[in-house]
Amino acid sequence: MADHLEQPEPAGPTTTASAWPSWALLLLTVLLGASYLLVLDVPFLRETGLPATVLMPLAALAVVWRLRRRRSIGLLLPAVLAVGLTGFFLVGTFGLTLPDAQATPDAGAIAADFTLPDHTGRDVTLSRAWKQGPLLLVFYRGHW
Amino acid sequence: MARAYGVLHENGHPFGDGDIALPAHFLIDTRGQVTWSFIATHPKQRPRHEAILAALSRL
Repeated sequence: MADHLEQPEPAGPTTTASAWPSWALLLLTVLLGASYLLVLDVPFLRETGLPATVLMPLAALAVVWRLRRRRSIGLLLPAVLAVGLTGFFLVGTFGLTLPDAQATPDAGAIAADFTLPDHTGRDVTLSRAWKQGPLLLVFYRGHW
Repeated sequence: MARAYGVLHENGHPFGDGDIALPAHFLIDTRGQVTWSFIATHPKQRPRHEAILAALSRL
């Protein structure tokens, strides 16, 4: 009679023990993405996103690969997050484009003059600054 | 000012509405003339230091 009784599937520690590698791989995926901040000073790495653009998909793939054993929420959630983060990173690296610049000054054209406050609040006029020496006018892509 | 240099990116703020500038560099000599420029076509593009120094050396 006891043979008819189904043995309950072990829960708790077994499920947790099989999920932690997936969460560790997710953490690795996040750290690999964050490592991009360390290579911003290297032009080639900044533009290509290497090595994160190669290693992040591999780490995410490893998380997804673990789903083949069991599809529990403990394995599915890190897989979804890893794939999502990797996709977000890859889109940011390769998918974004900028519109074409319109009517930029040609070489030899006189630069448009302006007066703006510097970081101390003191007005700075471009035409005064260029008389003191050549200058590099930099437009940052950002918002303050 | 970004509009005056042709580098205004209308509604380009990545997290909402707002105009921002395209990443751009303009080298201006002592006569106020633009002698070199770099306008990025991707948010991560920046001019190489060597290119800027080479443009400066030509002044």
